[in-house]
Amino acid sequence: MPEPKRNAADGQWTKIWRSGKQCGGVIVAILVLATTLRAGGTDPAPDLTQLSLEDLMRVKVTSVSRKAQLLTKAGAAVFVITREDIRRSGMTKLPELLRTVPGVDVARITANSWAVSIRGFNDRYSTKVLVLIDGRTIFTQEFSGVFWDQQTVPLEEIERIEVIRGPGGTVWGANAVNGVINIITMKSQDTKGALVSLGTGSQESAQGYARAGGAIGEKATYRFYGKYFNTESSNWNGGRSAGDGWNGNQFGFRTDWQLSANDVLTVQADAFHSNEGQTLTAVVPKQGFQTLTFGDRIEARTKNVLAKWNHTFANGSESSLNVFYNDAARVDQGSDDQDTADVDFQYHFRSGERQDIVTGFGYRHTKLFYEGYYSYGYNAPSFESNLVNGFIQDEVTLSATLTLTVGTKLERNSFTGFEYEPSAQLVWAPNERQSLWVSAARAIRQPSWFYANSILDAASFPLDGGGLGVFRLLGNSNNQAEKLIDFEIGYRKQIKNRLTLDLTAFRSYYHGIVTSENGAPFFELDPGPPHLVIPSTWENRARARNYGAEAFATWQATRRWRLSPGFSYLQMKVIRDASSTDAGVELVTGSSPKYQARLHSTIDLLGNLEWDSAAYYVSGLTPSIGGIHTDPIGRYTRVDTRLGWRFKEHMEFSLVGQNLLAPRRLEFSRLEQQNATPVQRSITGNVTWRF
Amino acid sequence: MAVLTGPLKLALTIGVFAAVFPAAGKDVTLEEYQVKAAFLYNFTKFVEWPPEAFTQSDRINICILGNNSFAALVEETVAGKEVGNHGFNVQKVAASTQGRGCHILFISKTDSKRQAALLGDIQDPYALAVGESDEFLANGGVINLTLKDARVRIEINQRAAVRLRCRISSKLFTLANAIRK
Repeated sequence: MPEPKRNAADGQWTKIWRSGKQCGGVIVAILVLATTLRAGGTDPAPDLTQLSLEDLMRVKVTSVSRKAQLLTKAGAAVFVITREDIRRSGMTKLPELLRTVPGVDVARITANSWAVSIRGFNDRYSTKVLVLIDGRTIFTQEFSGVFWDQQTVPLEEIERIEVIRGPGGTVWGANAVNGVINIITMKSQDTKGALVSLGTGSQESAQGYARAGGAIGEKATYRFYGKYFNTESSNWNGGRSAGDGWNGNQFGFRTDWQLSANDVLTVQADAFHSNEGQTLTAVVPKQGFQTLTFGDRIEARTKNVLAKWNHTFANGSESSLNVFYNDAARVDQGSDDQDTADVDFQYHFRSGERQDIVTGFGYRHTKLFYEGYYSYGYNAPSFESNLVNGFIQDEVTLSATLTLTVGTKLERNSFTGFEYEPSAQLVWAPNERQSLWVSAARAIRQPSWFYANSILDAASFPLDGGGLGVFRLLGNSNNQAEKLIDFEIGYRKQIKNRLTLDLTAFRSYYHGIVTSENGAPFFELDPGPPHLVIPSTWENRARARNYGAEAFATWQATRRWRLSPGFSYLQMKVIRDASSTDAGVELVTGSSPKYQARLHSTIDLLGNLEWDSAAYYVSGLTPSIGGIHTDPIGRYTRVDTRLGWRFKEHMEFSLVGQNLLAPRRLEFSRLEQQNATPVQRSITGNVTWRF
Repeated sequence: MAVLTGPLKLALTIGVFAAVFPAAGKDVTLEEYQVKAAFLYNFTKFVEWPPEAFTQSDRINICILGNNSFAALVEETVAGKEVGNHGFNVQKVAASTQGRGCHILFISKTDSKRQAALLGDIQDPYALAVGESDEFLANGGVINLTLKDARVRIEINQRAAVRLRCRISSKLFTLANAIRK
């Protein structure tokens, strides 16, 4: 499993630099194009030279337009979305927000479930992207993926999201195979005062968020917040409800305490509860193994608490101790309760003139209780797993323009034992405006309890000669880690403060891809009726060779108009071993689009009006389940637009239209159990007060 | 389509608001770097450079490291201005400041990683080093611009200020949150 990094949840560019270093050797040097980007919003610019210094100190400033424009020195494909990007996106849910990041593949399955991946292998249960919120991994060890409906961190509290495409195992550990999504919330120093945000719309029928923050004495600051939302069910053509409406609430707090000039302690906690609808098509053993389609509920309850202690030593080196506890309970085709406790330590120091070293170790303990209701269960009522890891990474300045970063992670997990994840990156930055980088890395995805211990009756069917057949997927405790060897090259250039370009190409070799291998059929009498079971166990008998390219640009067309095009291309090829009977594994490539493109436009109109639009193109999917193609998803273009108006600094109104081109459309096909529902055209209005 | 009536009502309300208060947005918060540029300009009123600091040129030389768009903004801010009979000159500086005769040297956040080296590199005894990052004063900088409660605050490293061969007005010290190093 991955480990959380001290991820500099403090909004300082200098800290980005450091946290960047911890993002798999990424050294993030950020050129702030402060005023070129949004100077238009402050029209007409008053002559500040007329003000006295005292007056100047009273002037309230906004730094939201500070845009991470060019990550010149990163030896990896990094993209950062800022608070301002989030505000202007008009998005209300975290996975939808990730749609705005070039190279991230987001497909909405239902109103409360998403398939999110980077560089292929997309699925609701995608296993190859690591996601963290303030250093707390939000993976579930059950399937090594993310339940996106449980991740309702208020978007109003996010300082920035760093998305790394490509492996980050050296620093981030297991499961950071195809990418890392690192969500960083604002420090409580930055959220003093009160903020209330209310919204309503055709799909998002109610949204409310309120927070209050302040200082306790001179050394500590705090905030606490609550949010509620209600999302309407989607409708099929003709108005029939798809039964996927949901609502949820979340509460939390954060405190940042300056213990001394060199010590900062952060403590934060959140609690979340949701009620959701879904439609399942599942084999129900209790009803004679019939395959039934029925409406079902999901209920999720999560709690987490995290403490982080940063210390700066007199010589400038830094240490960080991060501890969290996470409790996620979920009723969804069964009752599932997973507890995670995690301790992580990092130390960052310079050695001599040329070396910048970050090292650390971590321990995680996870426990799962599961009770299946329908066709999905486990071969024991509870499981525990441990993960111990250590890593070291050294960034060596070879010359004024050349930097080499090498490192490795060593870890021991309860499923496959010892694993290693080395990487090397070479960055050539002849000046601050351009850089060329190459990297090579190995990363692994460790098995989950699903692959090691689950029992899933995936299909039932009448046998030719009469009688009932049941296709049963069985966990395999000898399931091995999936491994990736990845090579990348990238180039970034900034042209005259107006245009930035970022190009990346990658070639990825996976081996040990999980396949399901059929065993000898046997008869089972209980529960009745008697049936023939075709067992299939999870093995690692396929490999994949993927390659692709990603390109994006930001063009400040005029003072008030910015255009950001992006494009990604992915060619996947999965090849099963000669010993494998799993033809279906080769078809998983159909669940990820070959081409994706996007175009964002942000315009600052007169009178504090903002008009932001985005178009997303997806080249379509040819999904399959168990080797059989399901309904294809044709290519589509999605268009969103937002009109925002700021009234002084206290109030902001916005009107958001999404999926404007079609009344409804599917973005993903049905899954093994879960039915997909259509995305609908929607309109949402929102008002935000600050006081 | 009944569900649309709520949002439509809201949209209408917003539309009416927008129509009634079209010019209400004049009183906006200002860009951080516009304000910081004005701070740099203002500092020159509180600093007295000796005559020998103007041997190369009569102008007050503001050097900006690491943030070219800010340099453009400072240039815009001080264009045509004079303080104490001195005009202004704004320079973008990529690396070394030696021999440039900087009166004010601004080191941007983006250069914070090498700021200790940059600050150690300053040979010019008249250069007032202004920065904007946590460790700036600790690294030997003179004035640090910080953001507190969305306002720009100044911090002064008194010891570094005293070492400079120029006089800083006591008023600046009282306005600043003076930090002794």
